[in-house]
Amino acid sequence: MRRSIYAAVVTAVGIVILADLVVANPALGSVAGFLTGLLVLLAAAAAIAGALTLLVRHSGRIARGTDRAGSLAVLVGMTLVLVPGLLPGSAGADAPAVRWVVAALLAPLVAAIFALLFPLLLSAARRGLRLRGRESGVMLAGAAAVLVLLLPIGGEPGAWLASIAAWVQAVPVAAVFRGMLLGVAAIGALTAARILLGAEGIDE
Amino acid sequence: MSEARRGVGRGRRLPRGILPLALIAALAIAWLVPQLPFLSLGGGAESTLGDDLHVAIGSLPDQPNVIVDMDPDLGTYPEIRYATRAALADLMAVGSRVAVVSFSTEGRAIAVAEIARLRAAGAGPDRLVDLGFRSGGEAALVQLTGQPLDRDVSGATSPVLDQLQERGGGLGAFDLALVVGGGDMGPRSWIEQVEPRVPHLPVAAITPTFLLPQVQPYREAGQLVALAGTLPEAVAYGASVAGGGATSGPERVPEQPPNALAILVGMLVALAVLLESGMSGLVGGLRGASRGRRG
Repeated sequence: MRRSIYAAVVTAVGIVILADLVVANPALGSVAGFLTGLLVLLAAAAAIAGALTLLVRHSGRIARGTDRAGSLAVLVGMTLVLVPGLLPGSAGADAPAVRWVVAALLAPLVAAIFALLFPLLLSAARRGLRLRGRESGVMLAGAAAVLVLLLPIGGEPGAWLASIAAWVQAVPVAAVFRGMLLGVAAIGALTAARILLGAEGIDE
Repeated sequence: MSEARRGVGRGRRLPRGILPLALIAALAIAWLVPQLPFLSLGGGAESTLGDDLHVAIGSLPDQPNVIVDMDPDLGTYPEIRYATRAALADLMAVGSRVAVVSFSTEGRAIAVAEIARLRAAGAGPDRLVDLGFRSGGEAALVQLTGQPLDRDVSGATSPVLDQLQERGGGLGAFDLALVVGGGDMGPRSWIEQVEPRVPHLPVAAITPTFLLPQVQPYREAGQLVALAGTLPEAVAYGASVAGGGATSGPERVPEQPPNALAILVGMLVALAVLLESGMSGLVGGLRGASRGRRG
């Protein structure tokens, strides 16, 4: 019964917003606008709820003595970013202190974590070859071929490599990704239809 | 095992951590070396890479209104920062009035930094307006299509917004939407949510390479009027804007392109590791097969 109510609400809201896209009607537009406003509030509420949950969880961990260092690091990080922006008279995200925290701490940290992908991927490639040699070998041969095509070389050799890279990108890679995206979209639509029609429960 | 063989085995093993340190040292040296003539990230002077975005901005009418959606990801922004700053400089050079908006927190943080940089370079309130952060993701984007856009982030009006009101206000008053993607919000959100509601607003995009399979079909279908979606395209575009000659002010591209030698070193290291791993696996497999035949 509860699942039917949720499904009915989701279906009704989706139909109203879709209808507003297709039909030019002021009354429908105002209803759709109201619902969109509610969605924005819901997203904001979810973000605040997420932050509060994080605060409660990690405070509890500190109190219980479970991974105190990690939880303290999370809370100190949250405080460092939130407090300068929420102080009275602060300009929020525009405040110099917040901009400093982002530029001096957040941006380098996130970029460094992203940069770790390089050695981690290489390490995973080596392990993959040890565990499943044939399949990993095929995948890594493709990766090596793409690396060669993308070498930043100038002149005639570089132009030749770039033209092959453009073909590879436009034809086989694009075909594979389009197939994957179509497949994911089809599965998503099917799953959504099953949930909305209540067909999920039939298999249980 | 004999002493001699044990000694040879010990001598072959490198000290722990030497390889990562060697990689860091090689990348640092490559980064410090000036650009080498035989290396080219952007395809050289004759290349047509990067023309897409340059032509799209160049064909805008006189003193166009442009909305820039800054929603990159902090991790991948270094890849597109050169092209993004070149695009902002290009927009300033053609006399654009630019409004900046963000729908993600990371995008907002980056937008604040870029707006501060442009203001420090001399972009006044008659050229640049901050529309702030809109929470709610795609729902906020849908809301934006129906809002009059008459106030900036501080609730004040500005010459840019006054000019938009003369043209009817809202997203329809803009001549171009430039979407800087990489995070959750990106060109796909604009095409799905904005184009059906504001069909005459052209959308251009700057995205990191990992989003290319997602956005390339939109470019080919014409739903995106321009795309800088790979590092060579971004570097070529930045070089063409930097070649415009501006040496000061918001029209100047404020940074150097990514170092091609450092990228080459990283790619060669990756190729070497893949090759070594592949050869080790192949040799190991052949040895095992020959032992099996002997046994």
